Amino acid sequence: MIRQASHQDFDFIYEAIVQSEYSGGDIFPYESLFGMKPAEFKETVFNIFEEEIDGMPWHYEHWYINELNGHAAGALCSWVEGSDGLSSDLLHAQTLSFLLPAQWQAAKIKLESLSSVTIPRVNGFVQLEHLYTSQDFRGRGVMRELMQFIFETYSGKPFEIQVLKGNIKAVSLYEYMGFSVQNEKCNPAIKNLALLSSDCKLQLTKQHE
Amino acid sequence: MNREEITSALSPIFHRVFNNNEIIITDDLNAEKVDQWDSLTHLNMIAEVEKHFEIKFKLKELIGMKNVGDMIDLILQKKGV
Repeated sequence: MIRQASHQDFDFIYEAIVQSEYSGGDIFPYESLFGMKPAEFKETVFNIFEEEIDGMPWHYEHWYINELNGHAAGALCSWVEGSDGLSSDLLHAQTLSFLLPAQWQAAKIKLESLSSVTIPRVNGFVQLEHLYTSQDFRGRGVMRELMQFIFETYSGKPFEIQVLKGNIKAVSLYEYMGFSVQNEKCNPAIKNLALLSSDCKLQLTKQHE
Repeated sequence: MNREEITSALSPIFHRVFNNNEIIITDDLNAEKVDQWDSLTHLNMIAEVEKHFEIKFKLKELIGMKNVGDMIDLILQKKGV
């Protein structure tokens, strides 16, 4: 059963954020940037969700949970880019820099390297982010169902996913679901600085069915 | 301090932060209209504006800003004009 997330799902949502940020590798980008381990970063993310910022992907209204036998099995975050007039990446950066000013300031050089692989999200495209299936429920079509649900919910609109190129399993699933790579941005410094698990970012899109 | 004076003061800040001297400050200017305007340069610009005008934006205000016109309104408000 697929349902919209609520406050009580925060722990599972945070698990989805952490695991999707690892993106199949062993680097948690927020730890590389701000020196905060997943457990330490959790309070910041919780505070952002509690702020209920319009247009911010980290907002319960943009999260969907797929439940199996009463257990949260998978989650994803989805929103229409630019619908509130501001880029979601900009909103995200603005919020983090406001809540973690000292860490943001200290991470400036690393942030500049990261921005070299930033691909602007396309306005009007439905974004899918933080796609995550719990270990116990893998191989049961949990994510395919969630993605299909989003395709039907936003029927007639184009879709976009950004993912690290090194996350081969995820890229294969997205291609199986009809996405194709539109853009790729790489910077070897990203891996040298251990900022992300892969030094290339992919932008995949899918036109409406 | 009036709207025109704020616009004039913003001009060199934008030119420096976005490394683009061709930017013309207008009320409807936003990130979509400047190639160099990404999340990082945006935050540098906000920091420079706060420093120049000796003000501090709240999170809600930062999020509510859709264009330069909104920012000028907030600066005017914060300077008590």
